[in-house]
Amino acid sequence: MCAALILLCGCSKEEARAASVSNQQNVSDVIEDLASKQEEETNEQQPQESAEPETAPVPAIDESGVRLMNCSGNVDIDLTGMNANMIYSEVYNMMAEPDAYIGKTIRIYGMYTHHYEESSDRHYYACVVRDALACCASGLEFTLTDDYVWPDDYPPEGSEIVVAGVFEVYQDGYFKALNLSDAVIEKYTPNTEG
Amino acid sequence: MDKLFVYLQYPFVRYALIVGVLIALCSSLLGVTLVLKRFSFIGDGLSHVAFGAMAVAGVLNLSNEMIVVLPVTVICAILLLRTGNDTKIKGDAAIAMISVGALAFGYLLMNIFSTSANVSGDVCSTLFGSTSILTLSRWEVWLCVVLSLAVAAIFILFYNRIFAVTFDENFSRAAGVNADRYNLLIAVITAVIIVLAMNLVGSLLISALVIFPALSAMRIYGSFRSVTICSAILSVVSALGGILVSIAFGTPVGSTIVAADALVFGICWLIGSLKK
Repeated sequence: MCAALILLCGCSKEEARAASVSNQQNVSDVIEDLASKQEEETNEQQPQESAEPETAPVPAIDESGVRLMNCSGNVDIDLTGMNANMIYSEVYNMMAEPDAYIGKTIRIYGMYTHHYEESSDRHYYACVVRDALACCASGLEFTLTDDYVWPDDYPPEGSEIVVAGVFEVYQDGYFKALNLSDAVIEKYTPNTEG
Repeated sequence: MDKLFVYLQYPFVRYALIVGVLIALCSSLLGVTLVLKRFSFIGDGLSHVAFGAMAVAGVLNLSNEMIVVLPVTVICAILLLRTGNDTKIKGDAAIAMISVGALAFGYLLMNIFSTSANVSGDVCSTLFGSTSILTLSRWEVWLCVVLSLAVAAIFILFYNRIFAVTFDENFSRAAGVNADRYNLLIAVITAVIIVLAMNLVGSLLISALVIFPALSAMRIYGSFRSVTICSAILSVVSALGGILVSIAFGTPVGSTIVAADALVFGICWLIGSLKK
């Protein structure tokens, strides 16, 4: 009885099954019944599971030698379909009110730039976005996943890239800095839906 | 169109529309008076003064630039609008002198005592508006709402006196109206509008907000009241249209609004020509 109870509790599907158990069945009947149903369900789910690797991150290399990957999580804020004004303004807002964006996965399209700080022996990578007049620029620093090896997998300076990563704020010396962590560089596909 | 609706969900886009409409309304209200008093170019002069004051505020590292920008612009507006009577440097010369002087000093200060890594970007943004209107904070929006409502209320409240001073200062003096006081009021309101409008179209394009709607309305109507109302409507429509187009197509906000104003002027000129 205990075994049956353990099997039946957990989520709503199991609760529904419990409701369908007849009072006239004994324990072994119930277990057999459940086992056969579970086997049927497993067989039904198998094709879906086998399809998963197709959507999982698949590293690829583009013409310039940059490693392209797919963002593993859901993207909360996608800036790739926006025009220059909107991207610039949204990034400006991220800098003005960073707390509202912490933990969100952001995808951004802009110009790749790299800076090496000798005093701290640290590399900074950023995606810079210019406004419509091209005189003002705002950008987001990003840290690529460990799959990327510097400098082979990184894009050439000044190239247009799409980066997706989790927004975070960290203390860099005296300054509060913004960063897209666990970031990946994605293939750019124009988003016409905005 | 769908893209525009998506963009409208962003708070900063809604802020831009609110502030844009309010500034356009205020600038058009006063625009009629300024054009009729032959002070069309004062917007340009004062905006350059505001630019210089903004540079000083930047050098002083003030978090709230308005503390410096607003009083300095108001003082210069008073000086410029009172030059008509007893000064050696008259109207347009005084405006030109203060305008280019403030612009030069502002740029000089920004370069010598730069507190930003992107001086050219800051200058460009202040002169041409850039995306300033899309990067307003909630505090700035509220400030703009309060100041705009105050300007509109003062204009409506003192409409008759402003009308009298605009058309014939000497006659209004003879009729017992304190013309100096109302000129001072016009100067203060003008300065407030200029400072607010810098966020919308930048220093160099402010005159367009003041002049175009008034001139467009004058092509169609003849009375002060009709011109003022028509000017307000045209200004709001142009600003709204300009902001929406720039958001949808990614064009620079300030120049798109001014282009919309110019287009409306062209249409009004055509209508005016047909009416004759």
